[in-house]
Amino acid sequence: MTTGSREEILHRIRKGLGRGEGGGHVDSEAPLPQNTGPSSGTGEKRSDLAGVFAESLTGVNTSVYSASGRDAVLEFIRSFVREKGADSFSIWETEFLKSLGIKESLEVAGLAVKSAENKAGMALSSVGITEADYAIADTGTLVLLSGPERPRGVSLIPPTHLAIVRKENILSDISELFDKLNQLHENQEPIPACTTFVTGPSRTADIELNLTLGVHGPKELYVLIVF
Amino acid sequence: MNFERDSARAVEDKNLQRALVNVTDRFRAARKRASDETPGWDGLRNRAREIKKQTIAHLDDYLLQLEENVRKSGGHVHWARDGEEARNIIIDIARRNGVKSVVKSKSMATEEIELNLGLEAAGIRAVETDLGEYIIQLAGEHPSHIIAPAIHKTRHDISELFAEKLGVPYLSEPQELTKVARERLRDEFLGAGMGVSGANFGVAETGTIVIVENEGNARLTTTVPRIHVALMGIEKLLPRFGDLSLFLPLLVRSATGQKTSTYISLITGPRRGADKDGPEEFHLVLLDNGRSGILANPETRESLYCIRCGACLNNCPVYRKVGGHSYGWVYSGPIGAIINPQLMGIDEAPELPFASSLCGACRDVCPVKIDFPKVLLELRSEVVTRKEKTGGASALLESLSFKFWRAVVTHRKIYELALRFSYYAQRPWKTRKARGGGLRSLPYPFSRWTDERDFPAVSETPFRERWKKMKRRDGGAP
Ligand code: SF4
Repeated sequence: MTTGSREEILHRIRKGLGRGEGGGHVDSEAPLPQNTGPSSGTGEKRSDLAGVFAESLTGVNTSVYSASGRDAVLEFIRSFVREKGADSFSIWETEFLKSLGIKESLEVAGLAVKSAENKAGMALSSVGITEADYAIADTGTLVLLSGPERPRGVSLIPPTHLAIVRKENILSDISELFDKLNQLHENQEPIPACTTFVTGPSRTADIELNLTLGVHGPKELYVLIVF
Repeated sequence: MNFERDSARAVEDKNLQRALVNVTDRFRAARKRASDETPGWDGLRNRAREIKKQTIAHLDDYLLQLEENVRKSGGHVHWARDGEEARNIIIDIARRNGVKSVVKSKSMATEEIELNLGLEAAGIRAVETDLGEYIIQLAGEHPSHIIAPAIHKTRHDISELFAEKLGVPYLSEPQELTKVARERLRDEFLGAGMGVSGANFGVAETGTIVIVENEGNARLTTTVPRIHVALMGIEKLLPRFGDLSLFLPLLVRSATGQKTSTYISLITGPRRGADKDGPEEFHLVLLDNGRSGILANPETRESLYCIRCGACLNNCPVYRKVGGHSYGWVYSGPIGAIINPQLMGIDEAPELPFASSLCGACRDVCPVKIDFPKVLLELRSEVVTRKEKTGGASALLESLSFKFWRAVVTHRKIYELALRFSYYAQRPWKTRKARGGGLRSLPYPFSRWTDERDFPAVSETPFRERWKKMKRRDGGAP
């Protein structure tokens, strides 16, 4: 019986800690120490976050490109799928990606769009395209918040993942990211069901410590920074 | 368990010895580089330790807060006193939903409760999806390292294993082997009704559980099947969401030396209303299984601060020689030496607190600065006190010899005589000389020492006399 177990575990904990039933008051004791993580944001680095981000990405087997303006972005994506020999794709439908019209442009180019609702179908799609909500320059990390128009499978199931990052969403380090995420919560936006940090393509070293890419997730990761 | 027998076997295993050196050297060097490159590393460790300390001191309150927030986000919370109860909870969820097969991502807690055996006994297939764990499962073995579970297997072993179990041709390249596993496991993900994961952290403030990985199998496990069950030890809590900005870098950099891992998933409840994917049901199982008992002793309580990075294993001279299987249970290395006896009961693993040279290398690298030598000594004293209570010839002999030893070393004349005596007494054994002029084997009871290591021989001229000579020669203090 879980209810009984719950009470018993709580009782054991309180007994172990030498406290009475009903628990203590967390905030009555010494306050928790500050929790900022390692920072890397020197003033100099902060002036060129996109540059630092690009460098970090290169260090984790990720190719990085940049483009400015709608036409340049669409041109890049069309030639990207051509080079990959892609015949299908799945895509996030964020406001920004919709405003660029990527989905329509690829459909015109003859690629089939796969919905995330059909997992088996998505496994067959060649490219997944997302927009990272944030990026961390220091580590080359993409931060993807899940939502109705932002299915998790798009960055996970197809063999190639292309993430689009708006320059203004590149943050310096992980502490800055958590400040942003905390702000979202304070503004009463419900925390998404899944927040995913992606740094490089899927990898393993489980066989004799040999680095092998694409063991479960995408084998290739590309990032397009939009200025 | 039998540490003496299993470690002796491990030392003879050439493949294992080579693998252990490779993996621990690689991780050690990477951890060192990553921590050196992180500004203020030591300060970060101090803060993390303090946060863990306060979390554990209010574990009940934070658990209740976590429970409330998981529920608010639409998830279910279950409490399990022990492994059996946790197994039954998970089997029950599977049965209620008609689940026939389960995919699993790497989790020490599920190893701890032997979930796979339980599921199989209930007629439910369980498939490990982390590549290393998948290999281990096919071979019917146990993980040998927290982070790299299959390091004791060579590519040749794995090729043969895949050929035998999966019916594929003999493939020698890790790339090819990995591809086979990817294809097989993709089918498993698509066919599974339930995914079971562990949790690296649980955040009380938001009801979020966090999973750190490189492969993406944990993401698939928590995204594709209709139900996601996470099993988490009750000590894995963090109070605040923002604490992750401190603990995630500490964990990853200590574990593999990467600046960050490939994937980190922050999961808060099941999929939301209009979401197109993600599990429809989310269950969090909170596992006690002996953890609350550790709280009772303030001297060893800090064992619960551990974030399972594996750094202490890689830096432990004992682990590097004997490997993970010698520790008799899921946790190995220094953390296994302190946590196995406390979780299983000290009578189940009385050898483990002694499986250490007390060098403190583990304490120096631990991201939450667990004071291993202190905890080990505390556990040793517990073992000895119990042995004395239960009596037995060896306990009596041990306590007598220490009394004798004290009498000898506290009386100078007797000490000098004893040394003289020992010098002559050791002669019959000095023929079998060991490296450095030690004694290789001695009769019982001294064989208890020399079975495992050489005993330094007593020198003909005691140091005392050599010292006097040196002083005379140099005309004063050297
Ligand atoms: S005891 Fe410390 S070093 Fe060892 S696994 Fe736990 S956190 Fe890591």
